[in-house]
Amino acid sequence: MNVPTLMIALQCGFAGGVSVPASPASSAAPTLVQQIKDPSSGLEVRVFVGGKADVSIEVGDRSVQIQKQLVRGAAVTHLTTSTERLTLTVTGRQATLDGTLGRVVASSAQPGSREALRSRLKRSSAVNRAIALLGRLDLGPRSPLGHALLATRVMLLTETGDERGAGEMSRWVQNAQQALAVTPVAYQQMLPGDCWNEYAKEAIATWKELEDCLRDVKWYEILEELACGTIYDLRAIGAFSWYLKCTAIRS
Amino acid sequence: MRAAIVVLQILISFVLVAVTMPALMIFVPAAQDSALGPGLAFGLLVGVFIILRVLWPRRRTP
Repeated sequence: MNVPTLMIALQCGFAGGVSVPASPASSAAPTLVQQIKDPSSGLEVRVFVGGKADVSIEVGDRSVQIQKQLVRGAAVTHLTTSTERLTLTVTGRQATLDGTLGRVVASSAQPGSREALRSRLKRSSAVNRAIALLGRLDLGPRSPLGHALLATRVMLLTETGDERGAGEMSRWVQNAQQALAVTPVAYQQMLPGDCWNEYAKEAIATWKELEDCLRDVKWYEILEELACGTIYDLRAIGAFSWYLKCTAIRS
Repeated sequence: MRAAIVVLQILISFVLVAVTMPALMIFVPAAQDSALGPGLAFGLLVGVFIILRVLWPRRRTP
């Protein structure tokens, strides 16, 4: 091997060595942590953790694929249709649209940029399809995933200048409050027969426990016998007390 | 004093029945039935209490 060839080989090796440590972190495969089917639309919602995004939520149908990601504090929404491919990145300061419709950066510091973004998003068929698809989902007021997807729909509605988003979010909050308010907290009503059946189960379990406890105890192991007997007594008395309390006449 | 003795007798009856019932349910499976079991338990409770009342040592009057 001559010197120039050796130098080229070393440079390739060095370049490979430098690039290798960076690759596992950036290309770590996201892990699927949740996969649920929306009952109202039948669409499958998948949640991934890891990879380039902290969290990634995916949902879609034949018309549009939606991918909502949280990447280092930024909400990144990817919309893909057969004709469009958009990425809308929203941070605390600005919103950036990138993709087949061009690149627009909107912020309050740039007058007119919000309107430019709004008109661009309004024209997008991917955005309109995504809004419609997310509106079909209903994961219930207790689902954090449903809330995240609703927030995405509200964000898209707001960015396109549609004011329905605020109302939808308000209704969701009201439903969530009502769902919490109607949570049953009363004790289950038991009939006297149920009380006896429960007591019988406990009493039989108590006796079986005594048998198991005494099985390997030798006749001279008085303390072990005493312990088994004490446990049995306490458990049996407790069970019978519970039964009397269960059948007691209450006001 | 008499009331305290009655309470003590009731408590002893309760404990005796409570520790007897599991064994009774194992050896007499019909006692597990909710139609028979409660009556048996309360009958036993009353029976033990009466036996205790009868057998309870009394102070002899001089």
